[in-house]
Amino acid sequence: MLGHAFLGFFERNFSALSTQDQEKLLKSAVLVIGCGGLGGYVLEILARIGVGRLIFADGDRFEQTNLNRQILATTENLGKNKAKVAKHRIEKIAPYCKPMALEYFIGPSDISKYARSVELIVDAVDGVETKVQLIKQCQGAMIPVVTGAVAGFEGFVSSVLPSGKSPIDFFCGRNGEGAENLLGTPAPTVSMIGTLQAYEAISYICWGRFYLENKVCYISLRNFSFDILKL
Amino acid sequence: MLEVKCFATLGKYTPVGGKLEYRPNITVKDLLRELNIDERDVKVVFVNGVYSTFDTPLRDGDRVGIFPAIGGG
Repeated sequence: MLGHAFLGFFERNFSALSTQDQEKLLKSAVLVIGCGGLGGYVLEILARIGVGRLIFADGDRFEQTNLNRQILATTENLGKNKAKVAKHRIEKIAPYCKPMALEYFIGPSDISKYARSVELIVDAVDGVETKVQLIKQCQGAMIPVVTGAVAGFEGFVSSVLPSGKSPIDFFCGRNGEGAENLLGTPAPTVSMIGTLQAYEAISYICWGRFYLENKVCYISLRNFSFDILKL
Repeated sequence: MLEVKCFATLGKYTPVGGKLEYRPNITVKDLLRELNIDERDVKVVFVNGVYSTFDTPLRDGDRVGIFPAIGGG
């Protein structure tokens, strides 16, 4: 049963989420890698929906160029570590949630370590090369990962199971070679892709399934096209 | 007729109206050549919503999506 102390926090999740769903979320743990553009929105949503334990990593610090899209970036916290800022935000909005900030860029050993204590990982890192490495590490650690990427007013989401198909061909090349370097990463696309990643995480925790397993949801806001593509 | 959509940085190669006349026995590779797209810039192709390769043969009426590398966040 949900503790009465927290009932009010979740009243407006009902009945989109049942009491059982809400309990599953409260007992769950998610590792979010990257607390910038995608990660900021993912953490915001997972904290507000009621995930009980959030672990998140980022060795980067906020800078002015983050302000266009990163919900955790403000003019007041430029220069501060992103994971540290995320922790303060979660503490303010979700007292039922235990946040754990890893204020560094995590590597394969951290992923194997935390894979044992979380339901899934959310890939919120930037750069094609980094994304390929992360997805491979997650598959090696036998942990599902929800990936997402943005370039201009387009982006996609995909959920990767340990033995499932993955969209890593989208991440071919070196960091700096992705289309985002020419087209930018504006807020509407970053927040939308982060939102869809968070929903996939919620779906997996509550109902044991991803909608985008072996699939990619590719969205182009320029012509409002939403395509579900089979990997 | 083929329905062709090029995405992100390749958007400019989408044919006018998104349609291209179908020529028999062509593959994805031939289509890229016809559109003047450098193969090296293409990382992913979907034909009728299914992951495909450069060697995938195309049939009249096929829908083709052409994508570059994308990794922003």
